[in-house]
Formats: sequence, structure tokens, C-alpha cells
Amino acid sequence: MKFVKDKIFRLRASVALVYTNKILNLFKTNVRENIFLEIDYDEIIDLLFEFDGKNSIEEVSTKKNIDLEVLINLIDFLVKKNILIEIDKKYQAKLIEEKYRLINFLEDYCYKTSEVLYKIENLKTKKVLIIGMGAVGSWMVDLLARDGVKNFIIVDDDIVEISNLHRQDLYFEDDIGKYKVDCIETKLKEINQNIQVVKIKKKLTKDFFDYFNHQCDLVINCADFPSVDFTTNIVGKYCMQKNIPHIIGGGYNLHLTLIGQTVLPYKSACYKCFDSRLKVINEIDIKGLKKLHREKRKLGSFAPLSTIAASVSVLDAFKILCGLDNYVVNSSKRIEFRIREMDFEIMQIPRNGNCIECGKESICK
Amino acid sequence: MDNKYFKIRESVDIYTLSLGNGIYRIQFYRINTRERKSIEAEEIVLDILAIFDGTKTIKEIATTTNTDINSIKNLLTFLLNNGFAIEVDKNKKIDERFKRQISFFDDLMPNRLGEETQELLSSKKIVIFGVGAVGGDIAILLARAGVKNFVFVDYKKLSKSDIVRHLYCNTKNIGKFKTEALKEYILKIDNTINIECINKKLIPHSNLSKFISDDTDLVINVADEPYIGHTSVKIGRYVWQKNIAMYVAGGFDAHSMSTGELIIPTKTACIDCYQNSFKKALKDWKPSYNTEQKKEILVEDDFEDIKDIIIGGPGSLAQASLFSASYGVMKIIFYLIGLDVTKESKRGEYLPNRGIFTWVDFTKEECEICKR
Repeated sequence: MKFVKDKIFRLRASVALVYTNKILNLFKTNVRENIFLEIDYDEIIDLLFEFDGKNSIEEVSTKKNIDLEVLINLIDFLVKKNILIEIDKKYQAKLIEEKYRLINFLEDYCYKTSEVLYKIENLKTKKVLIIGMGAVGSWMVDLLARDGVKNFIIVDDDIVEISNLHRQDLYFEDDIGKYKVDCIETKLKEINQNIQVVKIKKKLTKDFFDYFNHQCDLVINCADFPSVDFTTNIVGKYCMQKNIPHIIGGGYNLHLTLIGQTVLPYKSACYKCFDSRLKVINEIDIKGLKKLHREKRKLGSFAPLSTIAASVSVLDAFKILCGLDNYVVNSSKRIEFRIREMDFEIMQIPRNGNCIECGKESICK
Repeated sequence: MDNKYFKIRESVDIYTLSLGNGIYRIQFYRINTRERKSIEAEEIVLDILAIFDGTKTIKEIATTTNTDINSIKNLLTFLLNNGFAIEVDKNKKIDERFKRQISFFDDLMPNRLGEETQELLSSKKIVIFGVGAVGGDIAILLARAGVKNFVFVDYKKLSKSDIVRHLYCNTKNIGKFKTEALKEYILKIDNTINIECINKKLIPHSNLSKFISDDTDLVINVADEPYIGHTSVKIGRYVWQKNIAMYVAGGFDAHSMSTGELIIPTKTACIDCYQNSFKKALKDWKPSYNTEQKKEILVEDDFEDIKDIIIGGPGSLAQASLFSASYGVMKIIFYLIGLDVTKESKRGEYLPNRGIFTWVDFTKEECEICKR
């Protein structure tokens, strides 16, 4: 047990400090957020620089001749804003050497260095199920492995074809004809030989989860056969029952430009909330219209659109796996990347209170 | 014409609405641009449209649906004039590798065949300064998309910490020059790609003609040492004279998910315009950073190998780099294939905790260099 006055803090190096006209501007460059503080103390920046990871609160208080309680209040505020971080555990040099960018990113979400270390350790124990190793799933698994995830269950029954290479990650000319899941396992082991991969060479069928008995912390659906709607319903239903956060990655209803939504069960809009909301919107849009079915249609695809969707979704996945649900950004929203405008178009899809899956009347919870 | 093949574009949705008495309203909807157009027609037209998939000739469609060939031709004229249908050349070998992308290009640029756009893209030559996380991702995406000629400039070697963000880095290639490791990776994607590696550092008196040949179509600058602004001015002034476009990539320290700027000689603001507007905007912004660190205080054990690393400093993840690279590659490919790129003079910063872009606009300045 440590007394508060003995605690040690560090002013985070990624914070830009400017003090003018009694206003202290703290700009967090990693997450690009500004904090403005009205403060009548010309030496405020010098004071903050005293938090070098060595001086305790009491030492700073004595050195700068500031009332201990006032200082503790200020520190408390700055820690909550992730400007200062408490050094309650030192980092190992080897970890810094290998993962300093990840550590620095996580520091923007942690109050203590021990929390950063815990999150990195904890990531290794998380298990992620990804269904569909195509234009979005292949990139996502690569990114998550680099973030430090060590346990994957990957589902795909396809073999690599030449037509995959222009937009899918981790497949090369030599892989043509091999099972996608086998290729992925090999590549992930090259990133880190301790990565464990459970491979399921199956399609996502209605009864898929009847035979599925793995625990997992996050499910990502990138399967589009026979349609994204079909696979979303299967994954959505299973995850809502099991209360597992899930991400519906990739295209949706022939929309290459759609960013998958993140669902935090019973906290954000679920697949049924989306369904009911989009039905209303689509009805206004195309009242009474029926889509003409064309048998041999093959849609175009473009890698940068897939990788924008993959990278934005993996950012949410990473937050969920690190226990940072409050920072998830793709939930309760329908997000589309507009190619001509080169920007996101966002439509809020709030939870439906009467949702048959997650509303008041639902059986679960 | 009777023996030619046509198909409805893959990216056009067709919706139908029965108006009664066998009459239907048919709506054509371009899914990527959301433009729509409606016609009214008899039910038989629905059957015809459903098999307009490039596998049957006009004559065969007429026979199959038991329709007068002239009616089919009228319908076809409407479809062609509106860009809803295109001719399918049966003799042309389908490019299996790129067929899905070609189909995307078909829709993106209705006035040119997707195959031609693909060929145009493959003929381009790109020079990349800095093949780290973002530069490497850009190269990989461009190579996968079919760009065939590259020059990679980087003096660094891969280190252990690069596994976190460099998609081409793994436990097998640590210690190799970044350029060589990336080349190896890209040749595995497509071994017909031409790649020149230059393992040199860009310095103030570097002779840029040694790096950028006159037949270069685009230079991508991701070199952030000593600072991306400095390298961009040096390269930017050189390529402006040579009438070569430059893309200044985003995704560097403190801008980990930013878009970049595309600078097209005589068309957009020049690199000095950008630098001057930055300088102006940041005139009163003189921040301090707590970067002086005593590693022996902060680290448990031997700190010799990490003395240059700033703990608590710039942080990023592989997904952030890929995001910036993806945005850049989209802009780059659109430029290379001659599509008007919007947001040319804007920089976007994606906010990871809000899920939106904020945009900074670079208004055209009176500039000595490009004399706008």
C-alpha cells in the first residue's frame, strides 16, 4: 500500500503543451484531442515537466512549493485525461524494444503503467473467431496478430485462387490451390510462432454453431455466402445468446463501401435493431419495389475499400479485446465510405426498445 | 449487332414495381453513385433484363424470350446510352487476376473499359521514399492492384519493433534492408513486377535525378526524417518542375490516421503553398513536449537498445497505418487512372475515439514558387 503523496507520475511525451493568456492547452497527439484549462500559474509547464517518472508527488510539492492537496487534485484530473500516467510498474526494456508504439498507443487509455502491461498480457489470452478469410477477414487477422492477439479460430472452406490476390492479404502466387486457412496459419506463425490457430474448413451454415464448442471473446463475421444478411443473422443470433461482442465486417447487401458495425450485446444496437430500422428507411426509399434477380452477377471489388473497412473494424476489435468498450466507435451506426466524396457517411441506428432480440420483451436478459 | 454480346453492368441494381395490367416500373440504380432512372415497360422486359448477362447474343436473347429482335435493340440502345449495359468481348481473354477490380473500374469510369483502366494502371511507375509501415502498406496495396514498376528508397533495416506495424515484416526478415524485404514480399504477390531498391538516406544535397527518373508517374513521400515537411519540400520542388505528381502520405507521428496530400503540377497547390499555409496556421503554436527521458528511471533492466525510443511518445497500431495507406492508395489509383479526385487540397485526420474525420482546408495562397 502506497500513500498518495509517494506516488510517481510521468507527463506523457506525446502530449503537446502550450500556455498562453492563462489558458493551458493540452493536445494529445496520438488521439488528436484537445484539453483547455484555465489556470493562473505561469510555471505550469515547468511544474508538469517535474513529473519525470522519478519525483514523487510530495517531492514535486516541496520543490515547487505547492500545497500537496491542490497538487493531488490537479494530478487526479490530469490522470483521468490521460495526460499524466502513474508509474506503478516499470516497463521491461525488451518489451519496449518490440512494442513501444503499441505501449504508447495504450497509454492514451490507461491511468497506470501496470494497466498497460496488464492489457498487453491479457490480449494474449483472448480468443477471436473470424468467419470468412476474404477481402476483409484476411487483413483483419493479420492486423490483430500484430496487435498481439495469440488465439484465433478461423473459418473458411475456400482455396486460394488467382483472382483473390488483387485484394486479399496473406495470399501469394505460391499459395494458389491451397486452403486459405492453411495459408493464414503459416503466415501468422511467421509473425509470432506462439500464435495458435484453430482452422475450420466449413461454410457458415444455419447449423454451424450447433457443432461449435469453442469459447471466444470476440466474433468477426466476414462471410458473405450466400449473402451477408444470411450470415449476419446466424452470427448475430449466436452472439446475442452467448453475450459475445461481435463485428459484422465487410460488404453488406452488395455494398462494398459499408463499414461493418460493432455490436456490444445489450449495450448497442444488435442485428435485429439494424434490420428493423433499415427496413423502415428502405421502405421510404424504394416503396413496393422488388429487386430483379440476376443469376450470373459478379460484383466488382477494390482493395483499398476493403482495407479501410478492415482497419477501422480492427481498431474497434482491439478496443474490445483491451476492455475499452467505451471507446468503440462503430456501434449503433451505419457507416458508409463514399467514394466520390472520400469521406464517411454516418447514420445513427439507435437500439430498438421493442427489439425482438435485445429489447425489453426479449427472453435473454 | 445481332451476334454481339452485351451485359447489364454488375454495379447496376434493377428494381421493379408492378403498376397493374402487366405494366411495370423498372428502376435502374447505380449502387456506387446512387444515381437512378426509371422506365415503364411490359413484363417481358423483366425476363429480358434478367438474362442480359453477357452469355447470350442479342439474337439468342430474342429467341429465348420469344421477342422481336428490334424491340431488344431499342431496349439495348437505351441501356447503352445510359451506361447501364456494356458490350462483352467474347474473344478477349479474361484477366483472371484482376477481373473483380476491372469490374469495379467498369463502374467507376463508365466511359472507359475496365480492362483499359487496368492496363493503364499497370503501366505506371512509382517511386516511394520511405518504405516503413505506411510506405510498405501503400506499396503492397498498389502491387496487389496491378502497378508493375516501383523504386523503393529507404536506408533502414527491419528491426524487431517493426513487426507491430509493417505488414511485410515477420520473424524471418528482421535485419534485412526494408527495401529488399519489401521487394521479396511483393515479388511473391506477382513475380513480374519490376522493383529497384535504393538503400540510401535522403539528405539535403542528395541528387534527386538519381532517385526519380523522368518517366516516373508519381512520387510518394513517406520519409519522415528529419521531418516529413522538409523532405517533401525538397522532393516536391524537384518533381513540380518535372511535371510529376507527388503524394505526401499521412500516418506519421502525431498524425497516425491522417490522409495525405496529392500535389499535381499546375493543377493543385504546390508544396510551398502547403508549407506556407502550415506555417501560417501554426504560427502561434509553440508546444513543449516532455521528451527528455532518463531511461534508467523508466525501465526495469538494460536500456542500451532503447535509448532512442520515447516512452509515452508517438503511438500507433498496424490498423492505423493501414488506414492511412488505404486512403492514400485510393487517391493515388484514382489519380493514376485519370479520375478527378475530390478533397485534393484537404487533409483529414481520422479521430480514433470518435470515428470521424476532421478536415483542414488549404486555401490557395499567393505563392512565389508556383505563381498561382
